[in-house]
Amino acid sequence: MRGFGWLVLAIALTGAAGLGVAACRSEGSSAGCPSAQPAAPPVDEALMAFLSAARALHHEADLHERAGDRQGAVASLERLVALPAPRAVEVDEVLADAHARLAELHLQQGNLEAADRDVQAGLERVKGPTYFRGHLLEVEGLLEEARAGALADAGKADEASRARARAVGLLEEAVQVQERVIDRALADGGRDD
Amino acid sequence: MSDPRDRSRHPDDLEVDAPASEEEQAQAEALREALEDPTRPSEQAELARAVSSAWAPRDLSAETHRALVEQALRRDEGRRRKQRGSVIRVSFGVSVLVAAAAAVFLLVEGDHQAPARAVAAVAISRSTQGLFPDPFAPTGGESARIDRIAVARAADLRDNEFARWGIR
Repeated sequence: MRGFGWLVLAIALTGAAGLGVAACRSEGSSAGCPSAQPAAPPVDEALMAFLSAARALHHEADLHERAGDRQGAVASLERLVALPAPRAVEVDEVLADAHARLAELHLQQGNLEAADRDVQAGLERVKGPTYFRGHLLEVEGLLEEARAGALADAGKADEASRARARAVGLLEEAVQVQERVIDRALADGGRDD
Repeated sequence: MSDPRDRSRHPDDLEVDAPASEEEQAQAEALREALEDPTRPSEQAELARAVSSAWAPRDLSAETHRALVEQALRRDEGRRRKQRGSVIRVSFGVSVLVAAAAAVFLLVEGDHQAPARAVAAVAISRSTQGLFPDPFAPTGGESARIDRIAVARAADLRDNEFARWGIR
């Protein structure tokens, strides 16, 4: 009888382990599965809520800009970049674009430091070759160009020259990123998304 | 005078008419009660009844009959309880075997069904780069971009919801 008991226990443990592995495979869930690879999260309500709020705030900024209220536009976009953000690639890209727009607005206001902060914050969000990164590098190039002009006006010729060189380098980097994106898109046969 | 209850003495030396000891009296009382009440367990009473029946068989009284039946049923109940324990252990063993077989079936079947699930896979979070075939304009266009992203992902979310509800 003891032997039978051990046999039953062994079969029970084997069965439980088998059911566990089967559950890992059959539910498409990686939670609790030992060899599961980290997967991208699905498009869900949290992501959509973020995108919806971002869309509303961009359009709100449009209205402020059209009314000549640049500070109002900045305030709307500051709210956007402060939104609670779910972890998703789309979120990073949308935030990078919002930081680029904020940087442009700060640049128009002559606030180079604020513009620089937003450019750097945006570049932290998008590391790979995308139009989002390319656009941020482009804005950074414009920022350095503006800095060079301000330095030249201040009679600081050497510093202005260095700022111009940085601007050229950044704009060139932006072009390279855009070219890589185009090359990859062509290699993919123009596949959408 | 010596003690008549002294059993160490030779039987021939025993005095037949000696008075019963307290122990003998107690045993006699227990036997008498067991003979009156057949439900009381007593080997001597059973032996006495057997001898009596062998000498002069007679019908069992209703009370005796009931007591014997109850005794028999009690013994049978004990046996059944033991059997039930065995049946439970065997049932458990069979259930475990069935569970193990089901697990193996799911493992094998899961591999076969993988392509079908891939078809119904949910839309996952990914770069929106593919939504933009051309480089961004140097200035402006942010609202148009977020419009396109939101519309595309809203369609993805709808697909995911339908897939979750089993509608395809």
